[in-house]
Amino acid sequence: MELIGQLAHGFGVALQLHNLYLCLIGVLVGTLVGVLPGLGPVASMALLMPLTYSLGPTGAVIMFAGIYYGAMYGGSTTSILLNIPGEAASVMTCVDGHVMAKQGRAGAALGIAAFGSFIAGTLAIIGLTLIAAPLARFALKFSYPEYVALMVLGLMLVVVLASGSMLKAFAMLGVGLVLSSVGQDVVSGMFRFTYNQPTLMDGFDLGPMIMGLFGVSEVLANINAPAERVIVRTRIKDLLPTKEDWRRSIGAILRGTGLGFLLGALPGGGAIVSSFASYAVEKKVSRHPEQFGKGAIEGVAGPESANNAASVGSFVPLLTFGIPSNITMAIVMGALMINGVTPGPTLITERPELFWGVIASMYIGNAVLLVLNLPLIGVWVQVLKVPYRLLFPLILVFCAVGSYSMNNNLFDVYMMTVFGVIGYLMKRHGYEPAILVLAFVIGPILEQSLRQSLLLGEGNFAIFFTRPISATLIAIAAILVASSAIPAIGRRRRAMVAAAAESNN
Amino acid sequence: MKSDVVSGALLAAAGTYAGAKAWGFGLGQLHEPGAGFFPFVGAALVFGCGAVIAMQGLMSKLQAAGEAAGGWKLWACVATLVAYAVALPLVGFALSTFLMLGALCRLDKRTGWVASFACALLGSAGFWLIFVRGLGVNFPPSMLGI
Repeated sequence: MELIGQLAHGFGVALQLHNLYLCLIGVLVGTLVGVLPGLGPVASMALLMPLTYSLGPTGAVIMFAGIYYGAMYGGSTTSILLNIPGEAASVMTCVDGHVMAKQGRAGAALGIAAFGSFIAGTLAIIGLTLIAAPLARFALKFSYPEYVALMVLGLMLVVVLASGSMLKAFAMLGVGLVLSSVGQDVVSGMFRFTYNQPTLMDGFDLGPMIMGLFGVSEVLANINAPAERVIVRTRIKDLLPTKEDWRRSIGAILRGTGLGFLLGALPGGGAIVSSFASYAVEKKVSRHPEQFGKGAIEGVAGPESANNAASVGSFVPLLTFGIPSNITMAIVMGALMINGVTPGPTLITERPELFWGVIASMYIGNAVLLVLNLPLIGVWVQVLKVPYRLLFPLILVFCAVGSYSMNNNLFDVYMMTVFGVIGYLMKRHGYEPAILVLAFVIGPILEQSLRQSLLLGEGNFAIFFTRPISATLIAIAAILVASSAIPAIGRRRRAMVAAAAESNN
Repeated sequence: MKSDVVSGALLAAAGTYAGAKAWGFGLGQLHEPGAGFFPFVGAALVFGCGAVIAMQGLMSKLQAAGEAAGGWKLWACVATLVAYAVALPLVGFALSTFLMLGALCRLDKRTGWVASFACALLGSAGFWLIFVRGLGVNFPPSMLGI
């Protein structure tokens, strides 16, 4: 009963005209950026960061949540019609979705992606509603060492799941931690890496950094890419899936939901990993694995459900432990902190309107997405025809104006430009900016918790291994890294031996 | 790869520099870590990883870094962003935004003068509506009185 009362309170907040409007804007912007290749939810949330000052914490998170799960919806349209993922979590949808479109079944693919996303999103929100409060109560048992262990586990998961070299991921982790320490040390009051620059006294601003690393660098990376896109020339009809489509897809949707929610809720997890995992699972459990890659509808239903469930699931660690599980949540956390709210286990008691308002808004946003997406599919197809050569100037100016407007400071525009070039070079050489930003956001909390833990343990690191929760979390982190690093080292060694033998011959 | 040698060496150098600076802030004792403790740990990680990346790059066969970085359009975009930050206090928000949009549109020769002008005009008007009227952002007053 208490839960229903709290949820009703949340709906009261979410249905306020201001919040309803922001939810609508969020899902529309999310779908738009999901549809547009080269502009994902991270970059668009970074672009909209300056707006959060005037929206308040609840409004900001409602809008950002809408962008995140809206982008998951929108991404499928581009994948199916263009064979280009609108955003990274829709990569797997290209495989079978585009083949279906070429077979004249674009409508069925788009329809099952939308319905699957809706079902998965709704079930995941029910999951979030049910577990958020008990998990937040459990999180209250956490002290500094447990927080350190949880953050270490989250960072290790991100490193292990990084797409490229693990060493490069660790390097980015280190860079993020160093950058997070720029500014005044809260304990001693000493200024670190500030070089007597007043603008650096409070450290780097997250806004210009992510606008540069994700917004500007994305433009720089795409500036020479072919701008014209080839949309599948087929009439989009029959958006409502047939009985046969439903029969084949329902299992994939439910499995994708469970998997996506679980992987999304894990620190380090998220929509991208979930969609890949779901595709692999569907291929494994299918009686006709040979149909995958040739237009199997399960190959669309599973990953699309998984990425939507994951986008909801990733709110679990942020709202309950105050720890962002991925880069998108790090930006949501940044938006909260800009508005003077530090997420954590006490959020549910101290800011119930925010906690339950955001959850309730997700139910509304998810329904709005289904209503908006299918009838508006023609509009999204038209959006796909806007040439990139007209979009990129607007994106760059938005980045520049947005960076300036955060602090009314031109230094931020220069900072953003520098981070843009750095981000471009990082991507070019296989370094992931997302890990850097996640470490940058977690850094101050990790530093404080680490110093307090060492103080508690009188300088003995054993404090992390003698407490059951922290010991378990650190053990999991160590096993994860070891299980990923040891085979990689072996492969590397074998490759080097082979290369040496070849050069000797 | 050749690019790994360069990026690894740069990271190792940056890690060394940050580590030395962090050492200067004071590492403190384990029971009471100083201001330099945490950045030193981060810098050590950067140095270690950078050094290994560079060494791995050296030991593997040297390969070319690929095509030339980005081309002139990339650097034109960067230069336009810097020029925008310089122009903003000189000519004000409206004119600098208009000029920047126009210049960026013309980077692609397929966007003609008329289309660039229209995009710059509509775009700068849109940004003015969002940021100046909608959000009330105070942009620096134009030094030229425009």
